[in-house]
Amino acid sequence: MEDNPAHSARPSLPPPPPFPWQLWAIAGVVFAFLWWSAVETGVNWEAFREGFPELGEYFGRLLPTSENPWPLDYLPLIQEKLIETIKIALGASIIGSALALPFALLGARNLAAGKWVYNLGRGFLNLVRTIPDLILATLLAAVFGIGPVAGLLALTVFTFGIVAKLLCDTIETIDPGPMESVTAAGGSYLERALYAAFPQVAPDFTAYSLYAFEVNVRAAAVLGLVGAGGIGANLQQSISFMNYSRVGLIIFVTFIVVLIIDTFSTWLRSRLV
Amino acid sequence: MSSTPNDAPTVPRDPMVSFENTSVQYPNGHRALQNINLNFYPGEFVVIVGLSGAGKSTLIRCVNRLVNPTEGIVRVAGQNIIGLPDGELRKVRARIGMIFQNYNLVRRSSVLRNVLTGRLAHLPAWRTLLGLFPQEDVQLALACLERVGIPEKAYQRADTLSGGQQQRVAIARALAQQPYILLADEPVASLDPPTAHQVMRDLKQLSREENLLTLVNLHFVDMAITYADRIIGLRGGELVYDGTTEGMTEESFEEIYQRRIRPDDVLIKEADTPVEAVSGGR
Amino acid sequence: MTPAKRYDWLIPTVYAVLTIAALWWSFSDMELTLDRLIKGGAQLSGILRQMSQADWSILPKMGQGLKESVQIAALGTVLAAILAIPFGALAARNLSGVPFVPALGKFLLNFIRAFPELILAIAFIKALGPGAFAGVLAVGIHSIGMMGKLYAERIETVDKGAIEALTATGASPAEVFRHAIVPEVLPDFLSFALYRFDLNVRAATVLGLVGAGGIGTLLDLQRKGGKWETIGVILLGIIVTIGLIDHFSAQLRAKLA
Repeated sequence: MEDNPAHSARPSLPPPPPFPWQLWAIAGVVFAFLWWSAVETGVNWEAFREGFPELGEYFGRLLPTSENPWPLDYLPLIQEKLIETIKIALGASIIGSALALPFALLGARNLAAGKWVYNLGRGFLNLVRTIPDLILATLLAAVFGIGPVAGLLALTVFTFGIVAKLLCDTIETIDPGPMESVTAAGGSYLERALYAAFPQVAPDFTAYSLYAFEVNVRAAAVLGLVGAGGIGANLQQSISFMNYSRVGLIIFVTFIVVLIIDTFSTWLRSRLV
Repeated sequence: MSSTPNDAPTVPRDPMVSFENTSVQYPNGHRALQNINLNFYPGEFVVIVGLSGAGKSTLIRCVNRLVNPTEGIVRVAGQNIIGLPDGELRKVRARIGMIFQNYNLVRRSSVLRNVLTGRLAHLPAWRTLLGLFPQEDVQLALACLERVGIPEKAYQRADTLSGGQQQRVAIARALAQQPYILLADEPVASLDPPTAHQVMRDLKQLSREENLLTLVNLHFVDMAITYADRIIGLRGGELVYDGTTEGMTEESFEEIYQRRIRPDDVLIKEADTPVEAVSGGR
Repeated sequence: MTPAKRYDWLIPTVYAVLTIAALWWSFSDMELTLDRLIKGGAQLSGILRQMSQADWSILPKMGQGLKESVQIAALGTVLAAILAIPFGALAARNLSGVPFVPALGKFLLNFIRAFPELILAIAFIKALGPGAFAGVLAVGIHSIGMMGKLYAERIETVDKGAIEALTATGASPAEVFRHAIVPEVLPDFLSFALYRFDLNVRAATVLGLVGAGGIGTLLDLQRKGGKWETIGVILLGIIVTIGLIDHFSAQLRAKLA
């Protein structure tokens, strides 16, 4: 290696970093946890291999074949339920978003009446978002009876959680300028929220509501499996009766509906931003 | 580090790199290089100048075939690299170091790991894929870091370093390949003037000490005059100048560029810090 | 007032009208009578009273159930994180040479993503019997959809410079992948996995409702028995568990960024 005598105070090599015991220990713990989990949950590759052909068979029975075509005469019967599914999703999206708007306007960090209000709001929001939508649905079905009402209420809460969080985050990043002008002109809290904050987030609000609608349509499709209305009830029935060609048809039609709504909604959202 | 790569041609006048009627035409019809005939010799420090789009990047990328010529021949150490199968091409590339305007380091990896990637082509697959570099390669990498003056940064994440330091890591990576040829594509365009001059000085010194053929793309005409032994001028993909810096001034470049010299063609604007002379020390 | 301002009120009004119409339509045929809501409301207050008399004896079983749900989520996420790699690589536009392959890959991933987990769970239950294993598979297979899409998008935005530099040193494509791409995307992949784990814990709690193991099974049992005293406790357990995991997941992901 060449050495230049002109370099007297040269920076020297650092000591090599110590062996990352911590990292390997954590990896070990995670791996052990996963192994133990696999044992406890009965992950059983033999069973999987044995069950796999059966699984393939089930999925196969879902598809339309010549001897086993999809019962198209079943379509008019489920039409009503499909529409009900969309209604649940739509209604929940509208009400949930409508509730989320004032909540976010009141509770966002830069608008809130105080730190106390803000923290309470955030806490409540986190609580609401922690509850899985289907769990809420099944419990509400026990309260309000089996049917779309329970599903609507459950998804409303779900929507509220999603839209309120997104909206709060957005409000916190808006330009403070307009709000300062309103305050300087002697405006009240309400006027600040309505005339300065809301106009800036209005397009985002609509986008979030549409997004919530997309998510809700998917969620609404399975609500029926826990008795909360929508096409899921037919699905459950068909599965119980082992009428797999119907099952296949329902899944396919639901998929198409979700796809159409998704595409339309995504297009609308792109026009908004 | 060896002072002369053992397997490089030792007869002084055999070219290290030669272009024979080389042309590059892109699928959209754009002719990036037109009928280039050039020889480059071991140990030369060559600066390639020209406007953007004149073909500078294309020219140096033909040397390691990051760009494939559509006509003609490119020889490295006498071997025609056109049409070489991938395995052979990688062997050729292993001895050609390259540095880039944006340093092109692996940002999240440590400086040392970045330098070690220069050894990838020299090691067996099982070692490279598992990341198990042998001690002597690690020592070589550390020596290269010392050579460029930043050994203390060895274990830091590459993106925590300044621009000039990152470029030095890139140079160390190239050195770790123990190359015969060094390609530099606008190595100082992203650096401030003092750092830029430092890097150019380092490159020139390395070229001298290691007898390393160095091809540098520069668009700063004053730097070209200061550092080059030889200047290659390109315009519209054609060779329009090949000579020493003897008697060259900024106006000479107007001949090459076919337009007046503008302020951003020059690194040091008027009445700024004087350009330091190239000397041996750092 | 300029002509344009005269019509300023038009758009918000149209909006409002459309929204109210949509709402009206959604409530039709839903038996959403005031009567029903009042009855439900009354029942709800009764239920809430029941809940306040919390029956803590359910704790051990609840702990078991929650633990199982977390395990299902963890295993399913790991399964998906690994299996999604080839899918993601296939769907990434900059990795495969053939033009239609990425489009096909993305379509496949979207299809898997759209397939409801509950249905997958039911299918696996039919084939393998009820229990946690069916849940693991349902969560795992469904997660491949989202993880594969995230992987593909991350691979598509990888830094080309480092790839060019390593190729120029003579490294093989595999070596370039290992030393330029992997170090850049691995922390992000881990981040995706943590995010998906977070979502999967929620999914796993739900899957139990159809018999795929975890806390859902216990919850369903209590619901059928109308035991609101225990349901309250279980809900609390679910909220606390998911909340804790949310928190740690967010912290870890911040460190990885």
